[in-house]
Amino acid sequence: MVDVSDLVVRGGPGGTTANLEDIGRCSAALRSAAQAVDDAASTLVRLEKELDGWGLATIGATPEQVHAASVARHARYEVAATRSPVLLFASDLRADARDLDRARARYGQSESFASSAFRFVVDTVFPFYGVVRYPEPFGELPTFPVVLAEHAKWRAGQGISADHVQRYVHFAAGQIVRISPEHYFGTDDPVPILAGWLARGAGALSPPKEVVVQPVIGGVRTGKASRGAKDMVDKFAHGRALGGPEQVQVTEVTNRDGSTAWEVTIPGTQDLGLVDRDHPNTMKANLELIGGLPSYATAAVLEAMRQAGVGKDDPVVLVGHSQGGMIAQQIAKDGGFNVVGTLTVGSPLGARHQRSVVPTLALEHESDLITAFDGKPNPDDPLTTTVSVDPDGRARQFPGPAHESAEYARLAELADQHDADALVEWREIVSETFDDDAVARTRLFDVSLRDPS
Amino acid sequence: MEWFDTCTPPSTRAGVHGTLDAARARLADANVALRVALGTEADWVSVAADAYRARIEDRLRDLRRHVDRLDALEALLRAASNARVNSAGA
Repeated sequence: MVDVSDLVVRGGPGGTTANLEDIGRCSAALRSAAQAVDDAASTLVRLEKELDGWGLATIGATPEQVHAASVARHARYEVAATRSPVLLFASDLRADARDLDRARARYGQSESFASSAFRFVVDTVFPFYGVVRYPEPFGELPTFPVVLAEHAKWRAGQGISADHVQRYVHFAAGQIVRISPEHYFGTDDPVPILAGWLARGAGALSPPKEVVVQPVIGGVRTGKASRGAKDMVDKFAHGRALGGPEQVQVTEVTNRDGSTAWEVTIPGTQDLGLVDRDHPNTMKANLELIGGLPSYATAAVLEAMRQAGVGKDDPVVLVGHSQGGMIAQQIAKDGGFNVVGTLTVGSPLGARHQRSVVPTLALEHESDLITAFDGKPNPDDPLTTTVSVDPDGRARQFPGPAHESAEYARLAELADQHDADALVEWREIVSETFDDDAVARTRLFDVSLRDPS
Repeated sequence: MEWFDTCTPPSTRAGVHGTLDAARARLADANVALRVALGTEADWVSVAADAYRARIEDRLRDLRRHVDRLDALEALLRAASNARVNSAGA
């Protein structure tokens, strides 16, 4: 059974990018100190000039005046003697800052070199996991043995690595978008472009619809506020009507001081159709979300939040499974609510426009192929922490279970126990938002589409 | 806690003493900036972090020495100022 030591934590506070930014901030602070010390030295020059005027004894001066001038000259000498080392000190601080800048550049380069070297080895030395450049118009494609090897691994019950699939998706999308003259020279983020094309095509085939959001009658339950990722992931098990699609859950938490905070649980894809029918969480919505386009699915969650009474300034934690995670990122960015954190479960988040704007914890099974459909790994930035694990049991062997929210409960539980800086900080956000043992009231909302009235 | 560890209000003293206070205020700013640098550095996860921390702590000690020298100028300036006042009255 997997345990905490099996987790891979990437990005977030404590990640490479965050560390490089810390070094940058440290260097800036040293420069600021150097500037202040320089200013102190300039002020001492002013003091010397003031004392210069006092140190002149005129002809016919009284002994007291001569004495006063002598004392002033001595003071001036001491001020000058103090100023010189102060100036040198400022220069030392600037040298320290330069050292740090160089160290930062070296860390950045070595990180980049390490990544390049890794890619080189993977792509070249182990062609089974690489790509090969075919003559135009095929360009770079996974090698044939790669496909055979993946198939053999899957048949042997080893599962398929989402990491590999992510690379194939990236290359395939990269080749397809080259059809367009504007992307002929390629892009490092081709999937959103392709998804956008497909979404627009699906949109042209879809009849116009209207989003309908209705509170579920009797769909209110009371419990305790979430204490971590596990509690949040567990909520997905309680948001499904018998035989029906999953529902949006909006949980109102009343803290001890009377303030209100919210947790919104957003389900994933409910309809695999490429055109809009009865439910907003379609495959078309997936394409729109990866393509950075507005979707009915996002509009439905926003409407549920409004109907539940979420205030514009109330702190909100968004929790999304699969497509729900992409919706959460879109709402955090443009939804107009005070989102303080998001938890995504098995969601593709690698596209550039999906960059986190609030602290985001992304849970990913290494065998969950859905997380690979962005064609890029999640960013290593201070706001995005990705926790992944090679799961055991069904989730390891089969892509279907690997994506189920229930299978993610174990990973969430382990993430709650892990002491990585990024995870500690994420838990602090949760505990600052929801008081211990605060009462939580969850309302369920049915979301659907209908023809415009 | 000493003056340079606190937020120093603008000096109300005039003349050379006011100028000395202005220089002190700038060193207090440098002290704050160095402490920010030390706090930032504490978050690094790097084998070099301890060396940088030690260096910044050295700089804070250097700054303390400069502050002491500025404090020592106070007495000299007071002596110069008194001698000037006395000579004017003589």
